[in-house]
Amino acid sequence: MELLNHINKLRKKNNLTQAQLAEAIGVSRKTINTIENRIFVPSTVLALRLAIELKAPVEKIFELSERKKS
Amino acid sequence: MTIESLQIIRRAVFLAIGLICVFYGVVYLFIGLTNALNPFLPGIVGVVGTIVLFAASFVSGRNITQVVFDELSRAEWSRALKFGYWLAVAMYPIFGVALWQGLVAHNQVFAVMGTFTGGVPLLYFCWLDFRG
Repeated sequence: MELLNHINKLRKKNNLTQAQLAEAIGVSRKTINTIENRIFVPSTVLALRLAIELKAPVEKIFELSERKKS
Repeated sequence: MTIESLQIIRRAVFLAIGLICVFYGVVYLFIGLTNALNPFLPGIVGVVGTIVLFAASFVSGRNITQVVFDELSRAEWSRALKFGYWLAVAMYPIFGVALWQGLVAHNQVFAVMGTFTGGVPLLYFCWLDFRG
């Protein structure tokens, strides 16, 4: 299972920069960047805060996908 | 004080304490305690660094401090501590054998293991922080 996210798409849809989104939810810009690039998996609390700011339910922001077997 | 300036202060403090601790350990291991090397140096730097970081966080206020020490930062600190823990565990057999073989003295082992255990997690955190 792989955790995918659509933060980048939703952030742009809401006309937010990484810095603006970070400021809105009280984290550093690096945190948003690492979440977007799937380096860091946020906690439930942070995921819910992201959902509020991005005006989308959590399951629309994050999704599990089957890892493709090579 | 801005988020960026508090981040820079944290990096500088961690880097300074980490480098001095590791430098102290390396010098003590290979040269021994010289007059230039104050035995309280790592402790003094650690206390001064803590005061600087606390003061900077206090001046910055709660909101900025919470952003700088956010979830990612705490996760990176956890990783750094895990690394430091395993390094500390690994040093026991390494220096145990070195002691048994008479390659190092007890005081050298004490100085190196103590300062490395304290300094390496700080340096590892800086590396994680710089890496972005």
